[in-house]
Formats: sequence, structure tokens, C-alpha cells
Amino acid sequence: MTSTLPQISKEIDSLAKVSGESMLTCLDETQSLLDVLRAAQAALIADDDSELNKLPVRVNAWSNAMIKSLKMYNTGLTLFNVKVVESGRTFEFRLDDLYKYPLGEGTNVQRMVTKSIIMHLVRNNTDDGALLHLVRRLEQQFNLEVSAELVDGFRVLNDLVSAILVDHTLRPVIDWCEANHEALIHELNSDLEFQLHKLQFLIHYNSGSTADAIGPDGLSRFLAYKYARENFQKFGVSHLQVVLKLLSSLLYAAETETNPYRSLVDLQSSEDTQLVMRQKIVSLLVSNFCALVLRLSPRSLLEEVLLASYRALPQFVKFHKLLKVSANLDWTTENELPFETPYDYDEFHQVFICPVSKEQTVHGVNPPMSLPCRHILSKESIWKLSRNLTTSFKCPYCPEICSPENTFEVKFVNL
Amino acid sequence: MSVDFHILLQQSNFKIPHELAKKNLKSIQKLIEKQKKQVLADLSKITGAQAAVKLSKQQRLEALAKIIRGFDAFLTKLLAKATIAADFMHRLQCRSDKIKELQTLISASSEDSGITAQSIRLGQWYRDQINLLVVDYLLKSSSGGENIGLELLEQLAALDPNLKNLIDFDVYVQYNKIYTSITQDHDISLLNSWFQDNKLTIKKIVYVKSVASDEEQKSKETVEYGSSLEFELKFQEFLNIVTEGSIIDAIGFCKTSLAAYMDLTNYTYDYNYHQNIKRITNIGGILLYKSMQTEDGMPKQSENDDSQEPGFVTAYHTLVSQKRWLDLGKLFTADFFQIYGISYNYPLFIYLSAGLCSLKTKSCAGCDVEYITSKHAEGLKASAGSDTEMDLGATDIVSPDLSSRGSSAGSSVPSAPLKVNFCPVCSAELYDLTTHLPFAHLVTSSIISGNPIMLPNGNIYDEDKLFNLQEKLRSKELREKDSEASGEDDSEDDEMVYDPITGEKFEMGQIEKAYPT
Repeated sequence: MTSTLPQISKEIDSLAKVSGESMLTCLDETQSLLDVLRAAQAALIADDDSELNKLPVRVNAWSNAMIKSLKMYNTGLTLFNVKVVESGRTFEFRLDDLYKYPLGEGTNVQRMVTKSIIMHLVRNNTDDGALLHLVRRLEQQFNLEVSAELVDGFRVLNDLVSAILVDHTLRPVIDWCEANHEALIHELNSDLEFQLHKLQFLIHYNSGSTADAIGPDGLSRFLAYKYARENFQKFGVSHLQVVLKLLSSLLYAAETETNPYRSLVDLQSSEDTQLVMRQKIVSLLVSNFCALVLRLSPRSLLEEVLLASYRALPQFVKFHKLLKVSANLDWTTENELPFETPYDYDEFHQVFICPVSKEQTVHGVNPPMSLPCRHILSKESIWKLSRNLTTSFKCPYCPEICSPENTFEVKFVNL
Repeated sequence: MSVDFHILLQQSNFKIPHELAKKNLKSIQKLIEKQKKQVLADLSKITGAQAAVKLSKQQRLEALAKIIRGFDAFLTKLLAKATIAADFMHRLQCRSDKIKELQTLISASSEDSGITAQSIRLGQWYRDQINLLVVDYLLKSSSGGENIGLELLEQLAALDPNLKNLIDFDVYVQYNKIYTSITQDHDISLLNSWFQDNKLTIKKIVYVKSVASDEEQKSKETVEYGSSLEFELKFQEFLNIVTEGSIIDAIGFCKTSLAAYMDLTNYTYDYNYHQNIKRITNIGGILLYKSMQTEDGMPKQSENDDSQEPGFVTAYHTLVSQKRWLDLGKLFTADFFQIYGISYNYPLFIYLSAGLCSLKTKSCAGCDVEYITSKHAEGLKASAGSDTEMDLGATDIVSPDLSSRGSSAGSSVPSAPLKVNFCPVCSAELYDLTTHLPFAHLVTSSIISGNPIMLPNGNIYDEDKLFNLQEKLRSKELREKDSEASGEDDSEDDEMVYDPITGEKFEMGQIEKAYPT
């Protein structure tokens, strides 16, 4: 699948080898010449200047050896230049070739980009002092201002996240959830609080204390039971099925083969499963916190766009290559990319392409309309099929004869 | 995206260390030559039969000791350069290792759509790349003072020291320092010394530009030309002399330093000659204009002042304006980036442009809002989402813009917990950047997955998601009714379906399956 990576890493390794050898030779040669110089010095002290008189020859030999070794290095660099740096096969396009639609130049564009960078940085607000200093400098430069509310919000969020990821404790997050219980349930329909309690229950259940009089894991199961009694009551209605299973699992030890709930309750101790477990909770926390407290996307928008760009850029490259072969390719609709890029963000927009006209429907301009048979077309297509709404027409997808009065606008909604 | 594609995107990461290594090698070469010359010269004084007679043993010993000290110092310098050379190789290896890491992650990732250990690490890998893109931009565009990109890199490197091997920050810091010295401090001394250090490399630069060969621009041909930095530096020196006011010195400078540029045979490329000649022919006008100036620095008013500046006056003002410094900065940037193989545009901008284009749908910002704030909810029923406008007014405050996003807080209808639309193009944060960008070319629908069902008001939902919300909507309405203490009979409600957006109630039988193809 990949061919550039092995090739380039091979070239790098051989260049590094040549570079290292050449430098080592130079240092060795110099060190031995230094030894020769010192020997000559010792000889001279003993009134023998024969060594001293040989020095010019020695220095010339040293210099020749040095130059020879550097030449080897230079050849390596030239080879790397030919095979990698200037190689049209390795680097078949330049990054600038892909900048077909410039954002523009000047302070205003920089200011807009900086705004987004600031939002991105504030999200990763792990070390306030240093980071805030940096943010303040950017703000000053472009006359921007981050609301203190936002900075504080992210600080709280990052403290909660690091409690889970670094300190491995759920307590602060559970406290936060309890404080925001109503809003989480009613505004977000959130599952976070229960998930946290469930996880805490499982952690107790799997803790397997050694100072245990009842049995190998009796105490841990007792702790889990105690935790369940204290915390599961309010989930009796909403999460009854899961709570029942969790409580029944108390009859068994976590790891026993016979435990019918093993897949539910056995927290494997491998590093990866622990990581996934924590990350799942963190993702839920971040999206809940962002939605509830900050009213922001769970991911920085800058990150979102750049991730999209990684998916779109290969198409830009393909188009660039096509352009090199044939000059006039701008045949598509004006103000639209001349090539397709992936789009599957139904959480952003419901993109409905009219199956007849292949145009994207837009509310207010050319909305999606339902025919009596519940097939959906764009308004413009219906206009055309009905000759400007003057006649009935056959649905392109079924035998139904549709009268234009019986069509109406529809709207796709992602919940 | 394939692993190889990432190498292509990061090509400057593989070009820069090579160029740095080349430079370092040359400086080692020079160092050796210098050392050899020095040592041989010193030795010639104390070796041979004559020296033995002329100099005392003590004198020869002292001279030899000096040579040894010099050689010791040389060894230290050489060691430093060897360390640098190793660092450049280390950078290259770290970069290919980082790509290998991606390859491992991709090949190990399963079909699982949920969160896996691989997907977490892959996310971190991309986050690193994104942070490096931001650092790269800030390094290059930092404005004076301590480089802000470097500051960010240091902070990130505190958590992951390897990041410093993945970007040639030293090169970018140097670039930024020289660039700001030109454009902000109007000082060309740094530029001058950079030019002197890189003279030979700069002379080898070849730019290729395509120009229209006929008036209708039907056919294009390419023109090759070299760097004009040397000429522009001299020209700037000339301007500096002129602005300081010594016309005689300026004329003298023209003779000694600019006259050679009038001769086509001194040029490798005709294009450069023609460009420079245009500037040189302006010199007369500049000198004339300066000689018109009075003692207090103001040009004399002409007798019949019609407030129309003569062309050469405008030309002069342009030449000593901020634009001149920006132009000089651009020339420097082009040469500097060309030498190292750095893309002329900020990679961050290139990526942003591609990403924003691919996310910009015709539904973005304005005509079409799926997620409406509750105050617009009433309007929706009347005109299905046509005149809900988003407030995308330029705000100077970087803060969440609630007005442009849907939220169910304080809703008067029993609405469901609505999702907020986080489309980056529609956001107040990025919308302004997208105004000049084209829309994405979309050919396949991307709508709600699952079973689309339609309510009589035309709203289409995924069946499962809609029914999952019914319980909540019902209990919410019940609560509200309780508080109003109305004694209506709700027994039929089980047969009713709530529209989570409008709050309307419909009978089960009114729901239809929709067929978006």
C-alpha cells in the first residue's frame, strides 16, 4: 500500500549512517593529530625536534583525511537530494499547489485565524500561567478578548478530565454531575451520571482487596454492594435493567467462569482496556460539559476543520494532477469545488441531494418536497416535471401520478 | 488518507534538515581549511633547521603550546558541529518514525466504530499534527518580542519533548527575526548579513513564473528568473541615503553600486534585468524630488498648485512607505522559503482552506437552519425554516455565540434536548473566513441514518431516535400540566407522538414513512 515511507526511511538511515561515520572519522583524525602534537611537544621538551619537523607533513595528511571523509558525507547529501528532496517521484506536488482557494492576506485574515487558534488553545488549558500569557499576547496583537467565563470553564473541565486520566479518580466528576443533575437530565438527556456510578461500582467490585476476611473478593463485592445501595436508587426507573444485572452480579466473583455477567462486570486490568474505559467517560464528560456549561462544540472547531482537511486534501491533489494534464477543467457550477470531497457530517447539516437534478436542496431557495407517494425531490425538479406547476406528473420512482398541489416542503432533523 | 500522503504534505520537514546539514558541512569544510592554513603557517615558523637556530627551545615550546591550544579549541568547535550534524539526522529519523507510528496505528485499527485504544492514539497523533501546524504558523508570523510560536512549542514540549524534533523551529525563528526586523523595525542589517551568509545559495535560486504570452491569455508560457534580493538591498541602501538627505552621496552610491545593474551582460536572466531597469529609471525622479525639498523637509509648493501629485512624487512616497518594507519582506520570504523548500503559504492556511471548502454546504449560514433556537420555533411552523437568520455579526469577543446556535434552554414548548449545530462554517468563529471560498461539491446525500419517518408537518426524523424521546417529552408535558393544575385527561397520550422541535402532538396513524432516495 505504501511505497514512499520505506524508501524515504531507507534514504534517511543511510544518510544518517554516512553523516555519523564522517563526523566520527573527523573527530578521530583530529584527536590523533592532537596526540601527535602533544607527542612532538614532549619530544621537544626532551630536546628532540625530529617529531616537530615532521608535523607539517602530518597536518597535511590530517587535512587530506578530513576532506576525504567530508566528501563521503557530501556524496551522501547529494544522493539524498536527488532521491528525496528534488525527486519529482517522491514529492509529486508542492503544498502551495493545493492552495487553490486562498483565505486572503493581511491582518484581518490573520486576526480571524488567531481567534480560532485562541479558542483551540484555551481548550487545552492545562497549564494556566504559561498558556494564558501566550493567549494574552495573541489577544493584544489582534485586539481580541477571550471571555473570562470561557477560560474558567475550560479550566474546570480540564481539572475534571485530569482527575480521571491522571489521578484515576471519579469523585470530582461525580460531584460535578450531582451538582448539575437536573440540567444534565432535562437539557441533555445525559447518561453521564449513571455511567460514572456504574464505573465506580465496577471499580469497587474489581478491587479484590487482599485484607479480606470473607473470601478472595468478598470485601470488594461488599464495597460494591454498599456503593450500589447508596447511589443506584435514583436510577431505579431510568436504568432498571442494567442496575438489576449489576446487583445480580454480586452473587459471583468477577473473574469466575461461571459468572453470567462477566462481560458486563469484569474490568480487565490491561492498560488498553483501562485507557478505553477512561476515555469513554472523558468523551462523554467533555461533550456534556461543553454543551451544558460552555454551549460549545465538544471539539475545537480548528481541529474539526483540519481533520476534515486531511480527508479533503487527497482530492485536491488529484485535481491538481488532472489540471497539469489538461488545462480547462473548470466545468462545474460556479462557486463550487470542481471535484467531490467527502462529507458525512449529518450532525452539522442534513445534506439532501435531489435524485433528479443532483442539486443540493436548500430551505428557502430550493427545498426538499414530498410527493404524495412520499418520495422526495427538490422544488425545482417538481417545477420542471410539472411544467411550472401546471400539470400532474408521474413520480420518477414509482407509478404514482402526482399533482403539484399535493406536494409540500419537508425537513430532515437529526436528533 | 494514506500514510505516504502525510509524507508528501510534510515535505519541508524532510527538506529543511537536508539543507541545514549541507550548510553545516560547508562550515565544517571552511573551519578545517582555516585551521590547516593557520597551523601550517605557525608550524613553518618553528620547524626546519633555520628555526632551530634562530629560536630558543623555550620560544619553540611556547609556539607549539599555542598551536596545541588552538587545536584544542578547534576540536571543541568541531565537536559542536558534529553534534549539530547528528541533531539534523536525528530530526529526519524522528519524522520518519512519526509517520511509521501512523502506519502502525492505521494497520492495527479495527473496523470497530467505537472508541478503541487505537482510535485514541490515532486521535492523539492527529492532535499532534494540528498543534504543530499551529506552532508552525505562530513561529513564522510572530510579531517581534519573544517568538510566540516558540513559546507555545516549549509548552507543548514540556508534555511531549519529541515535538521539538518534528519541526525546524530554529529555522523559523531565524526567518521570523529577520522578517520582523525588515517590516517592523525598517532595519536591513540582519537581512544584509543573512544575504552575505547565503550569497552563493541565493544566486542559484531559479523561480519559474507563467505569464500570458498573448493578450487573450489563451496560451501561457513560463519565464525563469533569479532572486533580486541583492539588487533590492542595494536599492534600499540608496533609498536610505536619499531619505537622510545627502543627494551627493546618493549619486556617488549609484555610480559605485547600482551602475553595474544597467548592464544586461551582468545578468543570468533577462527578466531580472528588465525588472531592475524599471527601478533604476526611477532614480532620476527620486533625486529630483528630494532636491526640491526645503530645509524643513517639506517639498516646495509649486506655483499653480492643483493638488495633483506628479507621478514621481507618488512613486517616491510609495518607495519610502511601509509598502516598500513589506515588499522587501516578501522578497526575503520568497528566497528564504525557496532555499529550504518551505511552502510559500502557511500550511495552516492551506489546510484550513481545503477543510473549510469541503465543509461549506449550501445549507451553511443563513438560508437553512436545522437547529433553531426556541424563539424561532414558532416561526418554523409558518414558514419551514426559511427566515430564521443567524447572527453572525463580527464579534470582537471570542466567546461562545449562543445566538447562532440552537439550544433548548428556556423553551416554552415541551421540546426535546436539542442538539446544537457545531458546523464550523456556520460558527461565528470561522464564518468570516469562508465568505470567499467555494462550496463543496456534494453528490451524495448525507441525511439522518436509520428509518426516516415523517410527521404531518413535514419534519422527518429517524424513527428510533424520535420514539426514544417520546417518554421524556410526555413526562415533561405532564409536569408542566401538573404545575398548571389543569385536570385534563391524558389517557390518550400514549397514542400521541410529540414533535420534539415544534411541540405539536400528532396521532400515531398520521406518521408516514418517507423515501428520500
